[in-house]
Amino acid sequence: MQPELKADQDFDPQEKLYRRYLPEHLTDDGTIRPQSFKPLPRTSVNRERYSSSPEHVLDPGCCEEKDYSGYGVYSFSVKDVSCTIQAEGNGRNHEFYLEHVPLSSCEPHSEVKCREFISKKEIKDASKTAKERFRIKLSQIKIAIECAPN
Amino acid sequence: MCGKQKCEVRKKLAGLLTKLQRVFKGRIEGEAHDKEAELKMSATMAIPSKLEDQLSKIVGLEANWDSYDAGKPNRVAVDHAREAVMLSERLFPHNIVASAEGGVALCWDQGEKHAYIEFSNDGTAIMAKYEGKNDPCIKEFPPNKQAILEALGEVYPFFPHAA
Repeated sequence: MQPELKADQDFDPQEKLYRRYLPEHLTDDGTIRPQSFKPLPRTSVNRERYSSSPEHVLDPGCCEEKDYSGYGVYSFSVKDVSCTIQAEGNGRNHEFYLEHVPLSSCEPHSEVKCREFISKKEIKDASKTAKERFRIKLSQIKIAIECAPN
Repeated sequence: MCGKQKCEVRKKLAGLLTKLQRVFKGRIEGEAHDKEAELKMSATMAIPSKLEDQLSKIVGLEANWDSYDAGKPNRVAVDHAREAVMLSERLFPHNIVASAEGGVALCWDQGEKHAYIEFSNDGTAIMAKYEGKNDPCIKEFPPNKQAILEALGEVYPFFPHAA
């Protein structure tokens, strides 16, 4: 029997988060297009602390046993993703936060989620405009290409 | 038949012939005009081959194309995107990409400036433009011809040197 993996919610601000990408979602100024994200209810990433390498995110165990070897890998840091955003016109702030959600086949698996800044209530859906703000915010995060697509 | 009658018949025949010539000439000119208009129209409707290829690729995508459970772009989104490309001849989008939210987006990029018009699988549309880390300008709109033209009108001035 496989031991249950323990979630580790201690994220170093400098820790890298890895994600797969398609070449058409990378722009000339080195940003990732908003079309690459579906931020609500969550965005999957792999955390560096439990990854053997950036390419770990391409490992079949982290890809539901599918072959995504043709995809690229980019990274952004924990400190960049932990930001607040005023997504609606009501003046309320929302914040992105990280949660380590290890899977039996993919220990580094983590999720970028969104919650209300004051109540800390998780946001699972929002208006179209708010969702757009969320994903543009994610696309504005500085990224580093770790591995270009084959 | 006397000479005078013959002469009148000849005159009538000549008149008829002239009328027939006019009719045929008109028809031929009309057809040529129609053909010219058709050609002009097809030239206007032509999508740059790069964009056509990108649209074809998008049509062939399967669900989970991004490896993160994205939905397959449906016919509604693709048709709206194609219509918008045809209407965008003043400044064709630089790229057309599938969206993880389920849909198709026309994208314009120039350095840190980015704009897109995205058509969702649910039949809605959105225009967004932003530069670097600045706050974006976002507008939702119904994907009809007039509203698409208005959205394009928001995009063009954002790239003044590209048009």
